[in-house]
Amino acid sequence: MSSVNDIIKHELFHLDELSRGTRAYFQARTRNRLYDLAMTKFRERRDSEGLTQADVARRMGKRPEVVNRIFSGPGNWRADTLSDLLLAIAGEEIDATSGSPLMKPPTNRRALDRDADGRPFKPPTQNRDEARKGKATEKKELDSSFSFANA
Amino acid sequence: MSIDGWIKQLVDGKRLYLIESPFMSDHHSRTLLVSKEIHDLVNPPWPNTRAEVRFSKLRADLENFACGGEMSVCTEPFQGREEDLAVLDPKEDGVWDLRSRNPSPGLRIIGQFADRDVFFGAVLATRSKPESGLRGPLGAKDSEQWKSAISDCRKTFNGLFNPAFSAVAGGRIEDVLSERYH
Repeated sequence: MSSVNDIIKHELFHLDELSRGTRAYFQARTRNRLYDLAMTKFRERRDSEGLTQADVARRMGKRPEVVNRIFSGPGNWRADTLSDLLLAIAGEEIDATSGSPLMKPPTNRRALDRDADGRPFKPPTQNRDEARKGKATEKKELDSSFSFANA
Repeated sequence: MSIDGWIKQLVDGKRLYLIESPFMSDHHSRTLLVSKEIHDLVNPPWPNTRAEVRFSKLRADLENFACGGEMSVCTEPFQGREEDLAVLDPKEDGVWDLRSRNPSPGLRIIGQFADRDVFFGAVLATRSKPESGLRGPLGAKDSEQWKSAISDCRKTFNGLFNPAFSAVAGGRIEDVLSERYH
């Protein structure tokens, strides 16, 4: 059986039909990253200028308890929420960028530098076109062990 | 033996499981360990697409913790509603719950810190809604379900770490997380 790590990497690398699990995983990942971005900005302004949640609430025109809920987690955030928040915290807007997590340079790993089969995982160096060419062969090999997309 | 050595032994013996991001580019600044029960839930196969979606999001939330994601924290028992991490009653025992609220059902992972930034999630339960195949719902703050989940968490922790290591007690956030919390 493939591990979830292998499956996510496989789907991302081959840009094949994405399973609901992979999409859900990246939705939560994105939401957590946006939350991190806003909270980091808040922390910076709090430490440098003494900014408080009450200040942010006033600037956003919202009740303190509403802003307190926004600060508690990104569960109900929309793009508008993040826009308002960054503007109120730092007078900033989103400077959006994107990239494949497979292609970014490695950082530290705490313990498991290996995939489910005990092999070190190496980020692929192929570009998108090369990946598509190689897809048919490798997909055939991996299909037999897939359970994620068809569960 | 160091706590890292102890953990490695437990992980190698498949008595504990590490939750890590699949991506080499993700920096891990915390260690998240879980029981086999939780490990199996965040890995395939899943019985249906609803479970696939729910547990894929749970996995992303757990990895976010391991990768040092910002945590909203409640350090007073029964006061936290929306926070990511909250201490449970009695605070002094140092039992916490790590939450994954989206989508429904909201999930709670009850566990203890073996060291600062080293969390062991022992028990998973739904907070409010019953769900086939899952423990819970935990219900009201003084329910038997809560007591039993906390008791099972402590027993599991002690079975794995005692007498070499004790859980971080006291319920103070600065004792269990070194950064990125509010």
